[in-house]
Amino acid sequence: MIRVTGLTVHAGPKQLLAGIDVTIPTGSTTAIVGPNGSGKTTLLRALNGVLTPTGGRVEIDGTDIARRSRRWMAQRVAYVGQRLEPDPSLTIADEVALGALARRGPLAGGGREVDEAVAEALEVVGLADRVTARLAVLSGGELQRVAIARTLVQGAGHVLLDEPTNHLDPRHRLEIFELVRRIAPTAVVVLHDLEFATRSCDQVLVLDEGRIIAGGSPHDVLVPATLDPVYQVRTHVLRGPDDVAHFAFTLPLEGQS
Amino acid sequence: MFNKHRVAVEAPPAVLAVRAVRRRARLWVVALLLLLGTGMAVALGIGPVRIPPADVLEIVGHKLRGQPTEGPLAQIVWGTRLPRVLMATLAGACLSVAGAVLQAVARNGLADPYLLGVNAGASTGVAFVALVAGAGGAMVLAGAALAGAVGAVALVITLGGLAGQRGPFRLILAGLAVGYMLTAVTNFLIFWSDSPEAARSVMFWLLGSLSSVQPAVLNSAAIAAFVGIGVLIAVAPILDALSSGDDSARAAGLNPERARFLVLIGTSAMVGVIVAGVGGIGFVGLVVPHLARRLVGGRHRAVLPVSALLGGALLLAADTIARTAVAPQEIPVGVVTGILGAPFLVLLLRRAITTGS
Repeated sequence: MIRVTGLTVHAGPKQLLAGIDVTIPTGSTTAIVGPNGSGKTTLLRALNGVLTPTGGRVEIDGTDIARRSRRWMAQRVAYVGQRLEPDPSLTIADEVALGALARRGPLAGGGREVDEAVAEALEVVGLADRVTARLAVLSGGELQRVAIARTLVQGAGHVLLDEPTNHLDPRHRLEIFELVRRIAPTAVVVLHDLEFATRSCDQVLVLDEGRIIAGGSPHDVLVPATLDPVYQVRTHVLRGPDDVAHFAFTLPLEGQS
Repeated sequence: MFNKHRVAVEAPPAVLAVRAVRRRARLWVVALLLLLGTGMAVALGIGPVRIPPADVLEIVGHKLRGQPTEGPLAQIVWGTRLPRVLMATLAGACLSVAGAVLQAVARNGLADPYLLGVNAGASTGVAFVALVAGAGGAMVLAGAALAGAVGAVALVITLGGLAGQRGPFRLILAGLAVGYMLTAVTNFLIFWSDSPEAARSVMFWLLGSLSSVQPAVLNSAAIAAFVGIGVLIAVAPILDALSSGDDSARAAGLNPERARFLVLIGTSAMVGVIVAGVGGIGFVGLVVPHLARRLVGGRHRAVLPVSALLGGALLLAADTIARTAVAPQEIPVGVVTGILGAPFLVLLLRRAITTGS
């Protein structure tokens, strides 16, 4: 479980997050949505312990992360960014094996257990037959799957994903989301894709100007009353035959807001 | 993910493929060890007095077993050429490993001890001690070079910073700035010196030379090489993580800024000791890691030993050319590595353009 209390983050004089309170239960998938610059990535980085908050705290399984080492964090929290920008001369296996270092120690290197864990993770993400391919030759979707495989080997109970499908086409986007659902025990995903939030997330947080404007189940939160003022658009929610919400947006007409 | 209750089953194909890559890397290490050994035996025999490799091996074998070996040939092989051959090998190994490490830390294939100001710092240290303080002992110069190299990198880190995704790029810019500044300081010291003799020897040293290897210098280089390269091979997984970016480093449980700092300081100390002994030898640290990656991929447990052996062999070859090509005159070895290295860099560039990498 991740518990955030009164989390405030500044960059110089500018306040990026203003007193965020939220609880992310174990086993849930939480989406963070909001317009550009609303503080989504900042919140995710604070959960990952990369930013030092100016106020409040983040607890992972009841422990304040401020006092914990990077290795302690890596054993509990994994992070997948928008795009993996790896060393192109490393192979898929080399990159995925890095996930094992947090548990085994940085000097342990490879070994039979790591090789097997890497093979198993690559089987899950569908790259087992390309284990020795260099990262230079992989597509964006394949690189994201490598990042997810590394997360699997890392074996952390919480996975943070920052717009993991931003650079991907629809098919790869769906595949990655499917993978995230399968592998992540507790996931926090920064998203622009509201449909995925309704389809696959248990909880949605709407962020605007560093504050949580609304939080709760996707059905309750992702409604025009919440989204219109945040995105400054008119939101049209269309329900498909499978009762999944589809969103269309239009710019507000002159004089409307 | 880890299978604790292992049973005897055939390893999955993915595991076998990974093992095959590692086995190939080990074979390269063995092959390069043989190449380097052969190269050393040949280099010991080349010079104004040609000595066949069989005789060289006999003399070295006798010496290593502690048997008395008299005669002029033994003196040439053991007393004159061996220190130089060993120094070339050690320096080539250290500079190449340092290049591979700095390329990983800076996440840039153009990084080498020159680009990050390490050589310039060591040079300034030596120039200051030799020209201003008037000291000339090998250990004093080694200490000055080490202090200069570490000081320069500390300055680069202070100016460039280590944090953020752009951290490595800023590090290179800061390295260039510090390098130019320290080179100017060194040149000024040479210009200002009232001892033409000392200024000339510093200038010759700056071009890189293995012509007068003193036992103390060789010993300090050997210690720097074995400790430095040994430690760096031990922490090779950290280099993999750093070269893969901050997210990967954190996933590996590392604080990327701290890891970069420690690796940079340690590597610059190793290079400082080497530069003190042999002066500024360019291109080896830049070129050899690229060759090594071409042979064994990017994993640093493989790249570092292969770089060390390849770099040792390359500098040994360059130095043998330097001392024999226009004998009895001697070309500074830095000139030879530059002549050999520059075309390779162009080749690398052309390949990068055609493959789009």
